[in-house]
Amino acid sequence: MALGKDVIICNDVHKWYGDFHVLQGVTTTVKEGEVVVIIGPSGSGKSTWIRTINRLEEHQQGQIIVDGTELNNDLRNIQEIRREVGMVFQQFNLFPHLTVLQNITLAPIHVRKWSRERAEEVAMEQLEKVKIPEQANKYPGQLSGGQQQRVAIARALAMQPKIMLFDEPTSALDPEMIKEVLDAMQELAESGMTIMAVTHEMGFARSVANRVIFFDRGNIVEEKPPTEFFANPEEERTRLFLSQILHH
Amino acid sequence: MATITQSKESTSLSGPRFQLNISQWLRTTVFSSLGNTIFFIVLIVLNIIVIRTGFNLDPVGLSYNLAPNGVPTGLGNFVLTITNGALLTSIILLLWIIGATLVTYGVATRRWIGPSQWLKDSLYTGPFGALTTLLISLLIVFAVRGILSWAVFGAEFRTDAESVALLRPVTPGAIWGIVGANKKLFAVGRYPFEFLWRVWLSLGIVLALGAASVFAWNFGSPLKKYRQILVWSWLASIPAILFILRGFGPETSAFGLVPTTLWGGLLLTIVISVIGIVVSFPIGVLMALGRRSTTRGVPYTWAWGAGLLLIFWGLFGFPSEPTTFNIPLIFRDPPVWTFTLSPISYAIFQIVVVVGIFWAVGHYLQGNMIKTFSIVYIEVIRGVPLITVLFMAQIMLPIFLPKEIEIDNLLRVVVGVILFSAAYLAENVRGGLQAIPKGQYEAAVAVGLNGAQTTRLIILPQALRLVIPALVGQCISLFKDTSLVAIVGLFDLLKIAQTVVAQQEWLGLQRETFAFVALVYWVFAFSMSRASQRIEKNLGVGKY
Ligand SMILES: Nc1ncnc2c1ncn2[C@@H]1O[C@H](COP(=O)(O)OP(=O)(O)OP(=O)(O)O)[C@@H](O)[C@H]1O
Ligand SMILES: [Mg+2]
Repeated sequence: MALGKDVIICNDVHKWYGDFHVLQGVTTTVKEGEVVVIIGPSGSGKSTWIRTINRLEEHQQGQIIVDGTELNNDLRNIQEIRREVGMVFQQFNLFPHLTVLQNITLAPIHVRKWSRERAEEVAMEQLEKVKIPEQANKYPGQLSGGQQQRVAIARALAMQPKIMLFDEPTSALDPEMIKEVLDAMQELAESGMTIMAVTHEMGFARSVANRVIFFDRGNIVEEKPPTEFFANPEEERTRLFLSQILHH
Repeated sequence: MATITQSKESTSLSGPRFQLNISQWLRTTVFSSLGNTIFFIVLIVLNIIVIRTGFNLDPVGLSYNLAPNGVPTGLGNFVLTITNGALLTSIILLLWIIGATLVTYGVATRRWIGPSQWLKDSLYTGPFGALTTLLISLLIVFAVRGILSWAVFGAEFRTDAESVALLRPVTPGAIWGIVGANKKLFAVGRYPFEFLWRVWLSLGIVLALGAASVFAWNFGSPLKKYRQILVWSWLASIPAILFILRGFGPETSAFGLVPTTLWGGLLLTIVISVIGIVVSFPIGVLMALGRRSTTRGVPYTWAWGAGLLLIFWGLFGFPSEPTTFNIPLIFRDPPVWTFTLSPISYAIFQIVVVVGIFWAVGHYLQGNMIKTFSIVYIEVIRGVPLITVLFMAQIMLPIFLPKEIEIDNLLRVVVGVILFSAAYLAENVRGGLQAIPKGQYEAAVAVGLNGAQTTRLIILPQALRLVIPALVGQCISLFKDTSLVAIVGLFDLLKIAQTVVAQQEWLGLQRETFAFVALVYWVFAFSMSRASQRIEKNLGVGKY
């Protein structure tokens, strides 16, 4: 698949929590249609980094440019970028007081200002894609974890974003539900969506990703296409990490 | 369990085998320890005392309503019989003995029929259980007998003053005439008779809305779409009803003015609580959100709002004549700096000071003004009793406002109640807000909702649901606390009750009056509590 122009540009991004230097000058670019998988040890700052891209976390130094708009304190910029960037969380974070359909149509109606009919039509399309249209009128609490995560994906997609961020979307799921979520993600990747995903599903990384990023101690250690990445990692730290997770 | 035992017995033996080792049973229960023995003796003594008292209870004299001309009717005779203490006590004792026999029989033969099994499991769980059952049944029956005798059987229901005066010395129970004769006072206070239809009209509006709501919320989908309209109608009905009640124009017209000083009784109690609750709700929610606000500086709307308020104040209000300031300066002789400002320049001076302070705090100190204000407000109000707030509203409000504006006493009280209730509401709501996980905020902003939308669509609906029980509890206590307004000169339900018992012809009938008032308060409080349970159920609190 041909990759397009740069849609995410991180340039020397730094962030501190008090004295703790979480992001230590992250620099990379993601092209349109690219699927990037981020792996790395716990506490290395993967979540923090991916969350700076839609400004759930503020960065304190450096530049992040998403779809041509720089993230700064301007609220309008942030709103605009959040409309174009969908996010899926480890804990699903569905709205428990709304039905599945309402969860999905909420943002299109209130942010995109679509009519209810149009929003519901798009919502149903998305639910078809993740294969749970029959759950539309249930509440999130009535669904299994895998179904909830697929609703969360549908909710993000209903806004028709240009970029999707996933932060460990399968790590809160029972093994038998992981596949259904990964399938939905793979389908999304094949449709040409730009994806950044933090995940430890190496199978997914191997078969779907265009690039794997190894992240450690607040910075990118190594980034390569998956075949190369898994076959001959350059850095000692990468090798150590891979040997740890692959031998489990 | 019971059936298994039974079948085993019937195969091995023919007929029930009577087997009861009483001395062993007593040793293992009553005399198993010194404490148990003492407890057993105490129970027996208590039972004896209660039974003796029961036998000495007089039958309650018949109501004159039941026995016209002193000749008892059939119903009257029946009542006379069953209120007889000796008979009542004997019946209970008999029932207790029958129960005890059934259970003993069951224990001895190990044969259980349904009821005796139930009796053993619930009422006759052992010697202590059996005695406690007897004691408590006697006490309950005596209490019910006492209350019924006083409130119904022996009560006098006639309301005309002459017959009441005649019958009072001989009527053994309550004289409910005091309630009936003063029902208008209890209901609306001194609201004029010729305008009472306006109260009925208001009640009609409330009932109509209530009926419509019951339909819209209970009977299926076709009416669902009217729910929102109904909610707004409820809100709109409040000012409309206040307007109908207060009226306007000359007293001779149909909608003549009824000054709030004439409002009283249940009407006033309801008016104060409803306005108090409804108006304090949005204020409380805003305060709760404000207390969690992370916005630094001063929102410009606040500064401009304060400025505009002051301009209004400066032009039309407080400084109506030139104001003179005396500022003491140490190195001057005379040591006072005196200057006079015209009203306009005084107003401008105030505006400059206030806006200046806002601006300075907002831009240089970078303080979180909203949060600070909310915290100070909530903590100050929660630190003082409602009475104090009411007095402050009485005394302080006039100081802040121009002399020409005379504020209605009721309005002052209502403002006090609102300010008070808002602070508590804010804390309750904040409790709900804190229970919402951070992920909900993140998910909401991640799909592009702005701050206001996130609060309105995601956070508040969940937070408010969580605190429904606390909010209803607050409504109930506010409703009851309105009885404090009597202290600042309003005639609410309780104050009316005090004036009613002070009337010459009803002197000394406190019991009837206050029992009635307590019942009214209870009915309202209990309905609110039930309503809360229904709302919780409908919204599925704790279900997801
Ligand atoms: N709000 C916070 N305040 C202070 N430190 C924080 C905060 N959030 C995260 N951290 C720290 O920042 C570091 C990076 O956290 P982050 O959640 O980004 O790690 P991660 O790589 O996603 O790890 P995991 O794989 O466990 O999710 C951790 O050491 C964490 O303790
Ligand atoms: Mg993480």
